[in-house]
Amino acid sequence: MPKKTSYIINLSNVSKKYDIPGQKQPFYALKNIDLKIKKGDNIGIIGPNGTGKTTLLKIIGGITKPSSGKISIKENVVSLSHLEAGFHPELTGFENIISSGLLAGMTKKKIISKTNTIIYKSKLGKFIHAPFYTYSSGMKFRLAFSIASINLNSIILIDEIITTADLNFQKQIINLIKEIQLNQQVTLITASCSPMHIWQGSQKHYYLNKNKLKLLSKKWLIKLIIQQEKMWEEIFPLLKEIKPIKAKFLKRL
Amino acid sequence: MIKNTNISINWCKDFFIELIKKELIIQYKHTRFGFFWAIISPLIQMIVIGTIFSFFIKTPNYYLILLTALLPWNFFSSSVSASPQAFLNNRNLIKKARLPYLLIPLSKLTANFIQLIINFLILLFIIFLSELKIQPHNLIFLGISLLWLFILSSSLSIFLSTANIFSRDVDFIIKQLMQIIFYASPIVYQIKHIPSKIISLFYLNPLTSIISLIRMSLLNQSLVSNTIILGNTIVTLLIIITSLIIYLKKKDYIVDKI
Repeated sequence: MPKKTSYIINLSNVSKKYDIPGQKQPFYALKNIDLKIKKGDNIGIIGPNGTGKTTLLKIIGGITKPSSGKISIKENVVSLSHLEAGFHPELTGFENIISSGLLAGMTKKKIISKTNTIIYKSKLGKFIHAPFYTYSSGMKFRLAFSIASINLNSIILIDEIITTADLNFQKQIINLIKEIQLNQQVTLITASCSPMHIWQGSQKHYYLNKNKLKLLSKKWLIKLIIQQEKMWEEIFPLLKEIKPIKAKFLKRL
Repeated sequence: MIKNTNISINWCKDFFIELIKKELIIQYKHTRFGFFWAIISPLIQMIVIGTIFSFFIKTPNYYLILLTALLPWNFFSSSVSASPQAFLNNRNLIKKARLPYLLIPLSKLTANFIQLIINFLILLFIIFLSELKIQPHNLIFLGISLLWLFILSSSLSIFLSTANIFSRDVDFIIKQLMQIIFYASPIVYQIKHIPSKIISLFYLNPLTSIISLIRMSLLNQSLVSNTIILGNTIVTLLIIITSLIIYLKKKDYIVDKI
């Protein structure tokens, strides 16, 4: 049998330019990007702010079209960072479930049959009947994620979301995704400006800078993480003070 | 090419219904009188305009003549003058989800249209109670003109919501134009009051036929000539075609412009 690698996501020579009002030169968010992803791959994309991570994920998610280049996406894409798009602040959490579920790619029938599961998972209790604008950002996220988690199959995009949820909920998200990965082959793409917040099970890491995409070797990844730790210590001097104390604690344990 | 297939006709239908529901719920959710506002406001408008213009225009049943035009006019003006903001107000949805954008202006319009239908049912009931007689077979003209009104307003909404993305002046232009269109349509007057010198201008305004046909079917007056209907139909067709062409040409750029 001839070996024919079928890519679930295939971007070739993709560029995206934006015309900035008042400026003659167009702004290139992405330039000649090639990205091939197979089913089941776990990909991490690292890059500073404003280098085109979000634009790249938007193109994969089909929200915006590239200015040039070819793109083929073969399965349903659920973007976890855009979960709150379908919510209207004046409606209650309950009233928002159907439209949000539809935007996550589900059918109305499926959403209605899963409503109780969604409410249970969101842990909102009686607040499910309160207007959405009264929710805290954590509550909003929990509801949105509970809806999307019903339909997490095929391609999942995560753009910087993990940092907005509290640690407990982050753990829940990670456990849930791990559980889904055990049962079925999902393709996971996470993007973040911090190499620590990329999906830890990623097999391939890319670095996006100055609208170019580069494959990162493990050595470079470690280098990035060390660089970041250094930066953290500069920003939070307390971390330096804690270091010797932490070592002591660990010894005692 | 994106082979992603989660946008099917069925999906669009479900999402469209949800959007319409949302519009209807949100509009009256925190109000004390709720849906009654949809009935009260045209009645107040009718009394105010009717009292003033009845000094100048002497026609029996002037208030009813006015109301038969104010209902479609209110639908038209509120839907069309709100449409330039339709995409901008739903920036969140457009920037974050994949959907046919056209559903957004159309859902608001359809929600308004449902209210218009209810208003007309009430109006029919009022006419039924009065001594006026409706010819049942004339009601078909009411149906035709309401459908015409819906198609005309939706094409204009699609055009204006798209155009406003590329030039934000559209919103201001249309709000000024609305004041002119109000007096350039047979709302406070009837088609027979129009001087023959300027009647040809009314060929360009499809609301002429729509309002006159409604009056003809409900009040048995305000006959409109076939040539005006023909002119208005051609204008409507041109509006539909232009709107669709502009939308289809520009839809891929909308998300990057808001």
